[in-house]
Amino acid sequence: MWFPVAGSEQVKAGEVYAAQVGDQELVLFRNGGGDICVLEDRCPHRRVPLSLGKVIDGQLRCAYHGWTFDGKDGHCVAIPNLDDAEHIPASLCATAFRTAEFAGFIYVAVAGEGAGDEEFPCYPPAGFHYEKIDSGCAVVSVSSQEYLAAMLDGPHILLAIRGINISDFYIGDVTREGGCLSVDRTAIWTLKAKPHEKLWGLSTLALRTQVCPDQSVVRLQLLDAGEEILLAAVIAVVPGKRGTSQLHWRCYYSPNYLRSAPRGVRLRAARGAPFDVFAAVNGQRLADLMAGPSVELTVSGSTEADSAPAERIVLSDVSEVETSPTTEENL
Amino acid sequence: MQRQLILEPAVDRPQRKAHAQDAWLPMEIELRDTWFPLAHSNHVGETPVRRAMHRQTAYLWRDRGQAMATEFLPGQRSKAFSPFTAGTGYYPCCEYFGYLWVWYGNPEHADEALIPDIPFLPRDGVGIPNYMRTSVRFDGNALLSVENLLDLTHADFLHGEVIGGEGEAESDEISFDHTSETLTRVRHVVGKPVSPVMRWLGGVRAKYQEFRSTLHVHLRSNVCISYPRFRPGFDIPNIQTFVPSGPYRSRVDQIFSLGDAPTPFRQLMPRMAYVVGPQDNAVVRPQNPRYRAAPLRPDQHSRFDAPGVRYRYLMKKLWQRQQTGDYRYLPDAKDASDVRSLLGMDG
Repeated sequence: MWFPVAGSEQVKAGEVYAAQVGDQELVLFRNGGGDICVLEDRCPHRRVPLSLGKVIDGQLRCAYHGWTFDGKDGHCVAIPNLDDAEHIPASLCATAFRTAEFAGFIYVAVAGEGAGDEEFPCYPPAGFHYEKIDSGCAVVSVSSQEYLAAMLDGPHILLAIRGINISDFYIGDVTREGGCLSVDRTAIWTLKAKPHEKLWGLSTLALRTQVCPDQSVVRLQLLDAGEEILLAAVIAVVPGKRGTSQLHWRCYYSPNYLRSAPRGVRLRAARGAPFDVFAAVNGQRLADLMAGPSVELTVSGSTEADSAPAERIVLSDVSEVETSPTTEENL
Repeated sequence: MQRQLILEPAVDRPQRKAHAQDAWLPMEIELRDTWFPLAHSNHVGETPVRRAMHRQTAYLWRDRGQAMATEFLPGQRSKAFSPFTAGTGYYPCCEYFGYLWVWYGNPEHADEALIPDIPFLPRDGVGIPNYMRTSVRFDGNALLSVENLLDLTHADFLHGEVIGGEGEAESDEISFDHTSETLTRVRHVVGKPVSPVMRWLGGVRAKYQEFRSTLHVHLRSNVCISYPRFRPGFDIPNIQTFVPSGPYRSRVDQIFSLGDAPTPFRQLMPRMAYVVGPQDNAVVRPQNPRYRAAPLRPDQHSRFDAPGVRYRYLMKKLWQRQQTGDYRYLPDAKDASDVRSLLGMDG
């Protein structure tokens, strides 16, 4: 299985980028050929993060003592001040990880799950013609599993599409395809934060949210009345340290995006980036979000990772609290 | 609860066999029966200052000019005191070389003859200019900071704008010597580009210089006596005291001895500690959690690490000895002996 860890834009030639997958710290950079390289973010010499180092001639040099590593196999290729005749043993090496870059995302292979070329999860829908792409990244203080669940229950608290009000009125039930869950909800063109109720009856748009917990990916599609895709977005939700999540997203816009919007909305929505993933999640709104389609993440058919037990505090039931006996005698 | 993913390595390598003796957990090592230079003497006055030696708190203050190191704030003796003060609340302390030294261990073993000799500083501490004293924080375990000093090859990269030259030299040789209580490392570099600080502040106009750096480490106290000699150029003798403030931080009260260097180098060089210190901190700080309780994954070494590897061995040996209750100084320990020749001051 391929697991997304960063957007392609984040790893620029000649620069290093520190990423995490859970507790595993990674350093990403490009070698001389522009290929992506992923090493453990830990110099094998004195454990200093390699992400503090520099890319020199397509190889990564540690900031501490200058040990230099090849990105493809992790071998140490240079130690400063060694004599020309001195040989660096092959045993001196950093840990390199199998990696791939596809459609604007950088992936690492998960051990023992036979990652192949056909499995890249982050891509625009087949046959979707788009004219523009936006991308971005953020770190949110919500665990990846909670984030994925919230994306099913209330994407409006996690992202915004300019000129669109996303409702929590689900159209039908959750559908399951492979390991992914999908749900549609109504959406309307409006500039108001809280449009009049009667507008919902006239809503002509739908937002499709597809959550793939195995790959930790969310795919979104904004559909018009004819189910033509106006906008498609992919968000890689990478588990980070201390219960945080790193978000790497790309949004693809159809040339027809905004065509069906009312004139006033079209003029306003055309200014600036229409799609945005919030870098800060409002804790109160998250806490108030009622469980909906996300309950499907924990029912049979979901993966083991999906159903990892959440920390649970059990409150004593009022009916079990010992009180003075209520008997007929008392009455 | 976050999910845990195990990533696939790019290259299949046989797992290296890990040996228990390769483990290096500096946070667990806490050596006793030693003098810590807890503060510059001139930093201690009638108002108490708080310092730490490992987990032990000490208040330093003066009573009618007499330096005191206590477990209590003056006038607040209300609790039971530890074995470090034999229950009295007063640590053994004394003043030498411009520092207030405090005994960490069994007070009955406190012996002023065990205070390290610092040949380039006046024993009574009189006449040390204030501009030659600095105090720097290190956000890392004290032993990691000592290792940082032992492998000076880092200076070319981390302190390039002060020291200069990214690993450029005709030759770079490392040697070391040790006793059960000390380690002395000598680095001899020939054909090294003149350090920017020597060029711009010291007026050295040569393109290359020879550099001989001697570091004399006292294992129990982390006191590092450093004697770098630059030719052409000058000597920059200095003392670096890595006093452990708990397992994750250390405090360094440095004194330079630059009486023979020209102005403004003499006045400005000590200030470089506030440039170099944060640069070292940038690497020592993230080392901290990675040496705390890591699974056994031994560090890899080059020939430049020979003194560092020996340092780890000696520290573990001392620690093991102390774990069995043996706090003695062995006959080979010459703590108070003259170290002038060892530092290369005679040459």
